[in-house]
Amino acid sequence: MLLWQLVFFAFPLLFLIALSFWQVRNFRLEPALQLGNWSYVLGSESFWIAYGRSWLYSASATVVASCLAFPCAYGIAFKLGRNAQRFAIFLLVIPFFTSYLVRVYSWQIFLTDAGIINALLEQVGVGTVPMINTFFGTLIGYLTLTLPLVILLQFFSLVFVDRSLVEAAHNLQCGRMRTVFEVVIPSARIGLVIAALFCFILTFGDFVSPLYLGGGAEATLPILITDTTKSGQQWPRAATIALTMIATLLAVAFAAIAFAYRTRGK
Amino acid sequence: MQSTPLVEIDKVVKRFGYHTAVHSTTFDIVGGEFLAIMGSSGCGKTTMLRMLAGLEAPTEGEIRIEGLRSNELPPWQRDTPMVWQSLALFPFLTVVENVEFGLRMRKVAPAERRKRALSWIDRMDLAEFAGRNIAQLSGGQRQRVALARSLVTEPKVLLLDEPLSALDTNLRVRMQSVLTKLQKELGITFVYVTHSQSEAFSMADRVVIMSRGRIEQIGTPVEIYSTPRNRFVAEFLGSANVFEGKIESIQGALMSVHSPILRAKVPVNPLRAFGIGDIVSFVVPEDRLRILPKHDSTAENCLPAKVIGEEFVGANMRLYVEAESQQEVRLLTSHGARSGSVDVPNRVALTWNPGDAYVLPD
Amino acid sequence: MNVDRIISWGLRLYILAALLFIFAPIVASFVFSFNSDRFPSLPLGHFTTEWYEVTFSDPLVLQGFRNSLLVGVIASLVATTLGFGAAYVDYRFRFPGKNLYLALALLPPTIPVIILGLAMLAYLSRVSLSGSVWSVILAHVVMCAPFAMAIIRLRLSQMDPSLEAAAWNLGANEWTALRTVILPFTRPAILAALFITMAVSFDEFAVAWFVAGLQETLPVRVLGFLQGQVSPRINAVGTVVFIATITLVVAAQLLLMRRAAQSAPATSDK
Repeated sequence: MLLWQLVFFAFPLLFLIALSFWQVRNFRLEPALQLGNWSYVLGSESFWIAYGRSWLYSASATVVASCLAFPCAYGIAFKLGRNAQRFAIFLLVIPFFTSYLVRVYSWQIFLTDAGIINALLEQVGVGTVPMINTFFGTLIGYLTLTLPLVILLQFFSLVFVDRSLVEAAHNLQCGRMRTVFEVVIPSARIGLVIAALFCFILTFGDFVSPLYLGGGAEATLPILITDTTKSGQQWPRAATIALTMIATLLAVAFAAIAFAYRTRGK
Repeated sequence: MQSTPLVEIDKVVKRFGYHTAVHSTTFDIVGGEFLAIMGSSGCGKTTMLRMLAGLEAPTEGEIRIEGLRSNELPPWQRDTPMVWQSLALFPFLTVVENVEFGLRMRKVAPAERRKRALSWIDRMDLAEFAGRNIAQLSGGQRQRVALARSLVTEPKVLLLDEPLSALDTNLRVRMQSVLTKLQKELGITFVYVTHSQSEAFSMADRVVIMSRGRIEQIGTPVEIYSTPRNRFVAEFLGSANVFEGKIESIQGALMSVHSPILRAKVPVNPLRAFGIGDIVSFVVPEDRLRILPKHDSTAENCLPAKVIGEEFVGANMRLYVEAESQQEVRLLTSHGARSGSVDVPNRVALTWNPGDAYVLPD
Repeated sequence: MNVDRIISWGLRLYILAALLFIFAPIVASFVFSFNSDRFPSLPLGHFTTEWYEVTFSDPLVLQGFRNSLLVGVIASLVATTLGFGAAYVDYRFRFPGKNLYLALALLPPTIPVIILGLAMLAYLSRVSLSGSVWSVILAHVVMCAPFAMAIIRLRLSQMDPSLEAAAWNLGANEWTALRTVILPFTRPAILAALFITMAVSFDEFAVAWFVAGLQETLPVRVLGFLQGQVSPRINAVGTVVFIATITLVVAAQLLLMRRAAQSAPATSDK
């Protein structure tokens, strides 16, 4: 397996680095060592806008997903019996493996101006609310992508929280809500941070939601890459974009893990 | 000690589904006393403690703390800090942050609570560890942090759930004296749950013995040891021998009790008046039995037996003899008593003074 | 403690709502694939199977389906084999650089697919392996093997370590022990890994889109549809895809759950 992964996984990624220095002449790819791609990309305003937008989108998706997932994960971990727990996990694992693409498409059924939600809103008299081709649409798509995973990861860390710590906190006059913030969340910190990290990584690299539910007019980095590759055939430029993405994600990952694992007191 | 009870447990029952963990129980806890609740696992002692802390609610009956009904009171509105068997120290907080937790919940000002926490940490000889993470402390040190955390809020009652069971013997003995001294100094009530008879008896003012959800006996250690109420308690204490027989006659302060193998005279127990024909159990403590080389079937308080083992107990020796019907009886005697006067194959007779026996009231 | 019960039920409702949100698109796809209206909305039209007929008579769709199956089967077989090897190596051996080995083995799912897709495209076309079904298979193996490895490794950790040693002790050499002791024990995990990797491969569109060229897999075809207009044909395809993957995932989970219950009886009654 090592061989396979080396050849088909490590090498392609390393190759990306080399590729970023190549150039395209006359629609043909030529090996070279030139910084043209880097200067083009890093100097391009649309790149930085897309970069900032990716950050904004992913950060908000991470916050929203983590907050929305938490009551669900908490409920499954603390308020469901053994069998109900297993069943809930069983259900959550399923969408994880089903086609994200088709699910995003199906959301159009709900979100378009003529779709189900708006039809219901019409009935109630609220009128049409534009949901597709907006950030809201993109967000729904991101949630479809990440919510099962975030709930599962949060659940696995919450379920191992030492219950006697919760009782000890209650015993020391800590009320219900406060105990959740003072004891449960700090105890499960590592898992919660890792769940958020995965959410960030997934959304940062996703082009489907912003394209099909967000309208695609406002580009994020992944959209930029698909455009550059598919229509522009500018593989080296796409490579530079991809590498900045990787660098960003690595930095975020390191920071997150350092934060998750720090201990209080020496 | 105050005369009005601090905690009243009134006909409390606790059921979990179809299982009754605590049958109707009633007793009081007095302010300032060290009360131990003792029994083997499953007897309901921990359930009782948890009901006092508010972690479980009684299914029936009422618990009153300082005269007020507390059944519906959630744990965070009570002042009954607990020392947990697993200690339950917060691993993500330092020692001093752990200790001041209760004060923080009561909204004591930061400077004030830090001061009080540190003074307790100092009192527990842990001053140099105040800023450390609890993972770096030894078992005994963590014990003391758990104690400080519960006591810093100056409660009237402290609940302890087998806090010493995870410590090794040396440490356990030392901590026992720490706890007893502390309780006397502070004058607050300790409710201490344990399965160890020696712990309960050496530390407590009063002991509650529980078995299968019921209280078998409450009393001071001396009372329980010298006058066990029933067979369970007597056997639980370990070093008592229980015999049974039917009352044939009562002559004043003595009763004649007969069984197929034994004729005995036992003192009447003022706690319970038995009648002729009742079956009673009586106890002869192990240090009151004597060995005779031969059995005299005409004598009273004389039982044939066979020596089956012996054991050194300090300056004395414990003999294990088997009486009729395979009942194992234990004797504590000095070393000299046995040598030479016993014939092969170790058949002997047990005897005792009538006044040394004790009839079990239940 | 009434407040407690209200909170408990509130949370349970929340869990239900979350599950509804997650499954809504799947259910919608199913429902509207049988709906006669061209544009899905309420109220529903009448029941029809015309979309299925139209979609599955489209040669491109059938081609995509065939390709997906082909890729899925082959990729899952290869990935499971590699995953098994890696899991066993991790279980059995210690060697310097093991952490690096594990990192390489388990990293792929954390890399955004778009970057993987680009990297694969560039690399494979450079070595002239791009643009065919085989390129997709290669890429999918990279992406699926970590799942297989994780599943099998988990199962191995449930095994009594002395079983293998007992086999050696009784005269079996390493390969025989592997065949007669390890394989039977891990069989449910191997099957589960096959199913899961197949499911992952079947749905994977991003890398396939980059790498497949003209030999499109089904999800890539769907992507093509998406770029067209709204069409209930996607619902039809989608429903079929959902049913396929859901069946695979459920089967895998049942396999793993049943065996877990069998091999750890002591822990399950408390």
